[in-house]
Amino acid sequence: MDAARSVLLSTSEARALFQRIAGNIEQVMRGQSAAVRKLLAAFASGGHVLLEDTPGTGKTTLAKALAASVGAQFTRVQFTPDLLPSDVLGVSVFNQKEQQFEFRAGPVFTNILLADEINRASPRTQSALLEVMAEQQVSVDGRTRPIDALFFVIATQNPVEFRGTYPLPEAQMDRFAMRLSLGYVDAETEVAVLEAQDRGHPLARIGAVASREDVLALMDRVREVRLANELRHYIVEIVQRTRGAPQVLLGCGPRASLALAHLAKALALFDGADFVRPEHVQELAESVLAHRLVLDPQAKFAGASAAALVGDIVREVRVPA
Amino acid sequence: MTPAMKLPPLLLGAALAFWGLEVGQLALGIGLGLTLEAAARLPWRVDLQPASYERLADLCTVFFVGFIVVGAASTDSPGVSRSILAGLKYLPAFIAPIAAVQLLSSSGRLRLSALLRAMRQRKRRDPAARDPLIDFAGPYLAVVLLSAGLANDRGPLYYAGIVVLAAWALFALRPRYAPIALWAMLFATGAGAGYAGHVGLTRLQAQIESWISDWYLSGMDADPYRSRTDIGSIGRLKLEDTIVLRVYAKHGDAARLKLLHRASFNDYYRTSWVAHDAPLAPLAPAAGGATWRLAQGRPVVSARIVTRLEGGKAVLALPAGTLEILQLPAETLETNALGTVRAAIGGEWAQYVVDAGKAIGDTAAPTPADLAIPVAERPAIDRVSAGLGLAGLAPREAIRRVRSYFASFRYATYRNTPPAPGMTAIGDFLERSKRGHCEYFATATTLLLRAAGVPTRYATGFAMLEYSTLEDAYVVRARHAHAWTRAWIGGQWVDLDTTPPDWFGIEEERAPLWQGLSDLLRWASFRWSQRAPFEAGTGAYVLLALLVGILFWRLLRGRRMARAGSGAASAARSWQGMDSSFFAVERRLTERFGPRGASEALGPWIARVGVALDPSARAELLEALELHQKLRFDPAGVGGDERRRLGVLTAGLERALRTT
Repeated sequence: MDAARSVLLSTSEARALFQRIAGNIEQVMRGQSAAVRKLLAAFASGGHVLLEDTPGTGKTTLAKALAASVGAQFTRVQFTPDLLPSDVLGVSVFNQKEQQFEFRAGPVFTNILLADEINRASPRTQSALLEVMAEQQVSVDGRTRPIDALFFVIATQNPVEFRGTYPLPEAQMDRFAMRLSLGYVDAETEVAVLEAQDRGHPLARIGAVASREDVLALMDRVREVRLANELRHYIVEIVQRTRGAPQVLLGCGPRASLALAHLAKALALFDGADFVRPEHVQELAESVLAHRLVLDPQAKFAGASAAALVGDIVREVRVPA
Repeated sequence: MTPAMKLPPLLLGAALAFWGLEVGQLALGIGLGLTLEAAARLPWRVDLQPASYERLADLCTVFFVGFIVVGAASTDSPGVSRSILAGLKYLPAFIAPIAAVQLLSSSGRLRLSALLRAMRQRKRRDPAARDPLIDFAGPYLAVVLLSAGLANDRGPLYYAGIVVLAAWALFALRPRYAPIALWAMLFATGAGAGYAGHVGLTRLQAQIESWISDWYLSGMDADPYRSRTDIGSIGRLKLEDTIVLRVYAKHGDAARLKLLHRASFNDYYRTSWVAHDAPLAPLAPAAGGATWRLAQGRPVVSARIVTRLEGGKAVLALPAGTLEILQLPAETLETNALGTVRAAIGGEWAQYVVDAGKAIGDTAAPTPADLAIPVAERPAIDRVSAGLGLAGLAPREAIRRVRSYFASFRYATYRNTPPAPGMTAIGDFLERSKRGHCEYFATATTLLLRAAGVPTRYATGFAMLEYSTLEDAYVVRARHAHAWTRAWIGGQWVDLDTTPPDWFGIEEERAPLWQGLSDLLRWASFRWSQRAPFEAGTGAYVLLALLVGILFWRLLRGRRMARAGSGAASAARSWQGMDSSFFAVERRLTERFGPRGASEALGPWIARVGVALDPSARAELLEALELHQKLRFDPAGVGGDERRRLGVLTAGLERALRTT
């Protein structure tokens, strides 16, 4: 596309870029390096992320820190029940002066989109967004408008509060490459968070450490990471086992295998490797697969969780060594 | 099977030695027994790949089938069924390698699919199909004992051996709560009942064989001196549809071959015909040793006759006027004055070619014995003879009158009443019942013509009446056995059959429904039996080579398919870098820190256990791990330098881990 992307990044350059962004984010998000790793892997592999966690764990902060670290366009949409598709995608408005309709682009025409509390919007609006995520284009008034090559959606949702929400349908959950939970940090880290905020929010102090072009180059580089055939088999075996598990109504599809392979490549590059190792697959399996599973209601009632199920499957499958 | 059900020690070896003793290969049996017992006791174990088990089992099968085929195709073959029996007798030797590798394996079991090809195919279609591990030793022991039984012709030794071996095996399995004495008593009872049962069965079989031998097993070795008739017997004549002769002749000649003569008799005494004063004398063969000249004359008909022998001997069935028997490599051939020919040939089948002339020339001229009428029969014969006015008639007129007299008689193989008191069976037949089978007609005719002054003899043999399109031959069944009269007319013997001609039709009606099928089977077995003596030679060996070739080809093809098929299954795959020297380091680490979980990736595990190592060793370990993972998971692979570096690192680590 442009000159900066014509040269492929070297492994060490890619790793340095990753480290730079991660370091920047970790100034804001303390004690979440594991989640940051995965988030950046998804970011660099072009997969969208669903952050699901209890309120106050820093979901929005993480998304904003990522956006701040990359010198790219960032928009945020607060999803509410009365949000309409046109509020997300854009709308054609009649211009009195020009005597014609002109398109006012919605917030999806951006590089990084934070869809906050996505499950509060009506299914209609959710669908509009999810379509953009899958197709990378917006169709309004019979015209199809492409979205920038760097388009990354971080959606957040709250898993405990369900009143007035519209849970995402399973088919749409599948559009997210991974679901991340941040969880609570330990006491020491939390103390450090308090201390850091004494002099204002750290988010205000960080600046961009990578350009849009840097990120696009990184995305190109991820595709060059090598994946052994043996690990492809390993990935497929894990994914296929989710289909046969007795507690599962609906297992993971081939899109899950693709996402796992692609994310594992990005994670390998994050570690400065040219090739994927089994541990990368293992590290990502739960985040990539669990949200796509539909559990049997009885199993759910009996306390089974999709994450635990994927963990069990990973423990059952013999790992290549 | 639970370990408790393992065979007691040395039992398999003892059973093999017993088998060797029974089949007459004691050394082989003891050798196999020692080998297998040693295999079970060796301290080291050898585990074969499943495919190797399959290959071994297939190879054993090839050798086994090859053994049977070679046995069956050889020129002096005793027949296919005998070859199979011989093969089964040696089956323990053929499958001993399978038992040996199982005993040598660490699991002590083998997959059922190794033995059953069908199971392998099912597994190929459905990899999840059940394929249980089995203990081959038990079935192998059963095969050994059964094979020993196949060779058993030495009486009680086999049963005694089986009892001892069974006691050996069962003693280890006896219920521990029961006293040994009770166990021994029950076992002895069982063994005794088994002995009584099998002896009883043998006796019963012998008895049944003796019952049926009269009409079924007597084959072609009839008594040339005496013919015990069924004249006077009550009940139905039991006649078999077994094919005893096959006659290959031109249709034109067949008309002259209607009666195939076997033996003639001149003296009737109490329902038996006896060849009086007619001893068999050996005949010298003509040049070549396979041609036997019985009479002089010009041949007018020719036929090839195939017959089943019994004990290698047969009283030959010959057409009237036989001049020469050709292509019969008999050891001896005996003839008597009454035209009976008996040959000692050997083997199960005989075939010969017969040339016959117009007149019966192989029989001596009549003697006074050919005119004798037994005293017991004389009153009835005289009455009938007087009634017909036979005395003093010309022979041809006498024959005409006798024939017309019998025209009102009926053919019957069934009698429900004994002769009236004071009458002989023949008298009853002539004057009262007027019904009977060929023996009545032939005997009565012979005696009546004697009363008319015509020398006659009672002739036995077969009537050749049935042509089989299936076999393209005339077939003669046991129930076609026939009797007729030979009369001396105009200076020569003439065959004279007074049995009503519908007898054959009546007999045919009694043919069983399944005769068509059984004929087909008989023909098939006959064709097969004829193969060895008449068609053996290079052809058989070409066939054998072809068969073995096909077997090998099928096996090889199967193996190729298996190899191609296993490519799809991830388990059987060989991935890149599986020869990495790092695995040796992993083994050392396992010895020190315990094994890595099946799902624990190498990286985290090394990180976990590496903590316990000193920093320099840990650094080396991590470097080696890095190279190993590159070797294993980077499709681009590693360069020669990196590979060497990995070798150096792993060798050093192995040493370090062993010493510390």
